[in-house]
Amino acid sequence: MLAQTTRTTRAPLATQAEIDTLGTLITEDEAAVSDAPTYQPEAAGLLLLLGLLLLSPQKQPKEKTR
Amino acid sequence: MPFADTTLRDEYAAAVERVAGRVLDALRGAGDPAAPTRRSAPDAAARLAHATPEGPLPAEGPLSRAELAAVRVLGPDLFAAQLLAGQRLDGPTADAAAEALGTFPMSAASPVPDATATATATAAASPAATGAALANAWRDRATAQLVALAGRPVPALGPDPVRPQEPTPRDWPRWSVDMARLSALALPRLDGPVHELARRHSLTLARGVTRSMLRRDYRTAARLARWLAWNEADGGPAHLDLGPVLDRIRAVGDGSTRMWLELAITEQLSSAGEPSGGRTTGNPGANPGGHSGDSPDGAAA
Repeated sequence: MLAQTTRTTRAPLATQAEIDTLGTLITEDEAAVSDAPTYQPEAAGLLLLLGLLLLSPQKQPKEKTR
Repeated sequence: MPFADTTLRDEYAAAVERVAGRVLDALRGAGDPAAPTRRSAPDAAARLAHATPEGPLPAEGPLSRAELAAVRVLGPDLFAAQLLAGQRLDGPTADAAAEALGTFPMSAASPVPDATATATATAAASPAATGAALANAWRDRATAQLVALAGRPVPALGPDPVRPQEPTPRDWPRWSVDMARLSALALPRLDGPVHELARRHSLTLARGVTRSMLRRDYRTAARLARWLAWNEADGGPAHLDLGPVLDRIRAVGDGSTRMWLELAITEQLSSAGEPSGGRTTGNPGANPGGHSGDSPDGAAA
C-alpha cells in the first residue's frame, strides 16, 4: 500500500491543453494500416520479364512462299 | 530550448526524445545509471551540453516544463536502468517523477471509471478512450510505486484504477493495443493486475505482436514484444522467437529514441530470461513457470 501525501509543486499546474498534448504522447494509439510499397526481390524478375515482352519485336511471321 | 514556430506537442516530443536518450545511455552504460534525469558525470555533461542547442538537461537546477513533461511521458521507464540492473532507485529521478506527476495530473483530468462504475457508463465511452484513460491511470500508479520504492513522498493520485479487462476472441486486437500502451509497466520489481493479465494471456500478446508486424505498426509491435520478453524473464513460456522480430523493427522502425529505448529494454529483459530456462517455443501448452498461458482460441480465462 502506498503512503500518499500531498505536496506543493514548484511548477504551476498544467493547463488542459498541456494535459491533452501529453495524453497523446503517453498513450499513442496504433498506427493506421500502411499501404506503402516495400522492397520485394521477386518483383524484379517480374519487371524484367515484362520489359522483355514489351521490347520484343512484334513482327508477323512471314508466310512461306514456294 | 523551445522555438517560436514549434507547437507544444513538438516541443514536448523533442524533450521526450532527449530524456529517453539519457535513459538509453544509462541502460547501455554510457551515462549515469543512477540518475537519467541529470547528467552528473562532468565530462559527459560538458561534452553533450555543447554538442547541440537542444542538448541534455543542465547538470544542476530545476527541470524545464518540457523536461517535466518528458519525465511524465516516460514514467516508469525513467527507472529502467536501475530496475534492470537491480540497483537502488535514484532519489533525484524519483523527485523529478513525483514533481511531474503533481504538475501534470493526468489521472484527474482523464476520468477513469472506478471499480463501482456501472457497465453502461463504461460502455458509453469509446474503447480507445477508455483504454487510454486506463493506461494513464496504471502508468501513474506504477510511477508512484517506484517513487515510493525510492523512499520519496508520493503525490496523491485519486482512486485506484479499474482492473483491465480480459481479452475475448472477438476483441483481442483492441486488448493487445491497450497492453502495448501499458508496456512501460513491463519492468522488474513491478507487479499487479496488469502483470497478472500479461502472464495469463501471453499467447494473445504474441498474437498481437504478429498482427502489429503484419500491419507494419512497429511501435506497437515493439511494445508488445517487451511484454513477451518480460513474461519470459518472469519464467513464462516463450510463444514467439523475439530475435527476428527485434531485428526487423530495428531495420524498419521509425528510428525514434523512444523506440530504441523500448528495444533496449526488451533486449535486456530477453537476456535476463534466457538463463532461467523454461523456454517452450512451439509448445504453448507446456507450463514450466507456473503460467497458465492462453487457451488456443485466445478466449478469456
